[in-house]
Amino acid sequence: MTMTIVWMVLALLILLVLRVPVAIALLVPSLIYVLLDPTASLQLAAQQTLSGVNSFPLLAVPLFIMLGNIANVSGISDRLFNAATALIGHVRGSLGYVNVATSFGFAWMSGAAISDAAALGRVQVPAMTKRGYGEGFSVGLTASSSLIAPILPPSIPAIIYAVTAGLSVGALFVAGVLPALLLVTVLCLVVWWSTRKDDGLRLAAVRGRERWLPVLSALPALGAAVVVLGGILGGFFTPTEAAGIGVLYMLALSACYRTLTRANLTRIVSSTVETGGAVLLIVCAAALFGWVLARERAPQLAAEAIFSLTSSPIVFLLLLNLLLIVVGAVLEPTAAILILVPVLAPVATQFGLDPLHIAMVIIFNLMLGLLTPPVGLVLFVLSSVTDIPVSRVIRGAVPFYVPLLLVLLIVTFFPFFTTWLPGLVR
Amino acid sequence: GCVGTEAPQSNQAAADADARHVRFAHVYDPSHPVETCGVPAINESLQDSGLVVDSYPAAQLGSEAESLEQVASGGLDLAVAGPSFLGVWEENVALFDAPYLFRDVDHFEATLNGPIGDEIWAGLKESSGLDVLSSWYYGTRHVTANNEVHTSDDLAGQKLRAADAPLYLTMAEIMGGAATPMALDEAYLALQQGTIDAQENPIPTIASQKFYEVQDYLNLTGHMIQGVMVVASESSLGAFSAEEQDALRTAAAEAQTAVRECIEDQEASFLEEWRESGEITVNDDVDVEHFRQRAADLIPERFPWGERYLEIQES
Amino acid sequence: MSTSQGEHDGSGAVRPGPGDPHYPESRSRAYRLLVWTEHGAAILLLCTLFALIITQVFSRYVLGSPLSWTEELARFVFIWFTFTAAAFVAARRRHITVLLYGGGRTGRVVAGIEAAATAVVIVVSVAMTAGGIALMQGSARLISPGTGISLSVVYAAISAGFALTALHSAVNLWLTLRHPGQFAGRQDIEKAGV
Ligand code: NA
Ligand code: NA
Repeated sequence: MTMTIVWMVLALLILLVLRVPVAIALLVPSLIYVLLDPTASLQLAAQQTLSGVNSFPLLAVPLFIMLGNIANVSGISDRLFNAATALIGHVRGSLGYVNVATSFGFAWMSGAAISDAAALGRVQVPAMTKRGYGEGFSVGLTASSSLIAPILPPSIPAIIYAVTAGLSVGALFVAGVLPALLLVTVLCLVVWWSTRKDDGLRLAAVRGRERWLPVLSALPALGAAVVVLGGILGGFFTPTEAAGIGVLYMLALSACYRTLTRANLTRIVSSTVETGGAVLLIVCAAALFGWVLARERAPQLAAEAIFSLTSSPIVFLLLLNLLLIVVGAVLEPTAAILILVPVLAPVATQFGLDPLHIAMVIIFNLMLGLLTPPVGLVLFVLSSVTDIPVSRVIRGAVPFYVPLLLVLLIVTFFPFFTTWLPGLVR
Repeated sequence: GCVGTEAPQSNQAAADADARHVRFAHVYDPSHPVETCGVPAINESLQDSGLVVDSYPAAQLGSEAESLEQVASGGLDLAVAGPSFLGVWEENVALFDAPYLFRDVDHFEATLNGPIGDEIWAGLKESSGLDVLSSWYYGTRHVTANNEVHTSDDLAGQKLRAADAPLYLTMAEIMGGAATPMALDEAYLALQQGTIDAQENPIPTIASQKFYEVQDYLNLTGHMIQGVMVVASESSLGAFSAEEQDALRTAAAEAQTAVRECIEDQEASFLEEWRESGEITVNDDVDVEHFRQRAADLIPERFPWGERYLEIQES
Repeated sequence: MSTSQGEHDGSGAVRPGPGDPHYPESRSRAYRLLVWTEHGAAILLLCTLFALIITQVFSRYVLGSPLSWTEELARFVFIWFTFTAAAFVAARRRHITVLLYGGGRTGRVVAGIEAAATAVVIVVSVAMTAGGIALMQGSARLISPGTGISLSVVYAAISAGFALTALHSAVNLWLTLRHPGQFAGRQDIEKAGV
């Protein structure tokens, strides 16, 4: 059993290096397994692949991708940026705070770090470097603040996690609120620390109409947050329905902003089809890969291995973080969630840890992986939208690992941040 | 005290290294009686047969519908599935999920293991190759709501969680509520926030999902006395010798008593706990005869097995 | 936004060249029609999904009667959306791929690796198509409990998606072999992943 698992994981990694698309790289070892096992068949493989998307809660994924795309295409990110600049432009290091604030605002509409980095990177990084902020600091901060999107609801990794682990999507959304606020706070502290001696880094204060008009024009965008989170918490919709209503709201808002042109609509749906197709095929392939692991009793073997190492929840959490940082460095987060969660979540439960707490620890870790080479999708996206070479983007991101790891450790060892708010809702 | 210092779920595989492994999959949690009572009982019965059952709980190998497809094609040896899922393969089986079909658990067991059961399982086997080895008692379903339910009028206008299959929609209609489909994992939040008003489940599920925290009344409607079936197939059994097949059949049938005992214990102890603590008010005053009559009026004309339904109800 | 390596024709417009995701489509009308149909179908399915969710909420709140069939139907539309969109993404060579090396015009070695990777995609897609057909046959008489749709209609999505993926990958393999320098080593993974 163990041998099967080892060669399958090795084959997966080799195929990834050889530029086989992630979804197909997951299918190859699974199909070989199925063909070698006389009791399995290609028919079963097809069934398990399809079962990955045979789920109602999961269909919130394309809808939330669409929601983020509308926000992006209809210029809402620019409005948020202008509003934040008008409000806090005059303080020292303002564009740093504006960067974090814009990501925070955008995060209520977007569930993916990639879309945040793509939408905001092209605005924020040039704006900051033009005003005298270092290139590394600008890129690193933009990369770090893009992680707010998948932590704060709505969150696409949270949907995939909840569906995989049998948790409530709504509860996991709520569990992300405090960790996201913690991340915002820590990033603001980093901005304060890095700019505390440089008095040049502030803009002229604006007053009156010039100050409030941008804020008023951006305010309705936050209505999406009210619709999505309020809709779920207020009991009006399930998360999937909230995604649909959020899309409807943003379409209406985009029409009010007069940005709902035919060309923009085409861009919105095309880009949703592209991202949706790519991500969901990975979900399907990982479902089959995970099924093979389950059939080879990987969850039971992992549990035995971990329990032979330690019986302390603290040591377990440390080991978990170490493992996930390594996995996050090399694996795409969707695939990582689908493969690891069925193996690790039951073990965590046996250690007496809260499922929502473990979920946030795993999600946060894998999101950090988006910022670490060799496979750091946010780094690549930022490089492509800013025309800064990947190597320099990485150099900019590295110093931010310290505050990000600090947030991770707080989330890991203080379950309060993940369980208090959902408990309050309960 | 340390958490989880015991080795997790030791199975008898270690005890008999040469034993042949039988894959047995179900969708219930590792703490559910199917796993904690059913699986050990099967393995105890299999002790000298050279077989050992490896259980895959919590839908590790797929949903109920998927496990049945795997059993049918021989990719899985044994699966646990309810009558509604078997009804996709042979419509008459769905009959056993009909509301107000059985009077009590003894009636349920006598029917499923009696001539009517034999006939229906034979029909399933003939048309699909699926082979029911045994039927285990799963629980009696009751309606929880935020008001006392005596008759169907008390649920009028309330959104009652129900699967979107014709039989469950009819069940909701009989109970008087508006059927609203919803994933089980979302039901707690939905009940609390009022997206839905009421739900129905067996008592152990009401306890494990903590529905008692967000609902005021447990109404003992007892509208479904439900079973789950241990299912094999011609192709999944084909790999075993005749003696081994017999051993599996016997083991599955013998485990029936153990599972029923565990479930009935759970039902009784939760009910007693709630009656004492008042966490959820237990309402015994349900006009079961009223609901039973509604079921007898609505069901026979809507389903092809309607006459058989009346026959069992009156038996 | 794609790092297109297309040729300029002097008019300022970019004509797709071999490195461009649209290149095969601009060469063959039938192929363009096929990809266009996949794209259109995926968009239509996405809009249907959206409409079904809105209908579900609308009927619950405005009409006061929850619909029972939207959930199952939405699930089936979602399955078809996934595999149709995945086929379209394969046509545009946009499936999420880990690019650890290469970039620019690193030449024949990377092209060789990409050709081999594409060949793997073709083999896998053919196998999955076969598995999907077997799944359809195996479930030919199964009817979905909610909407009464035959499950083989739902399961057909997987063979359809992978058969088209096999076709697109074959076209891409041919292009990689014909234009090794231009096809290999692309590094844009814009919008990739979540
Ligand atoms: Na978000
Ligand atoms: Na990484």
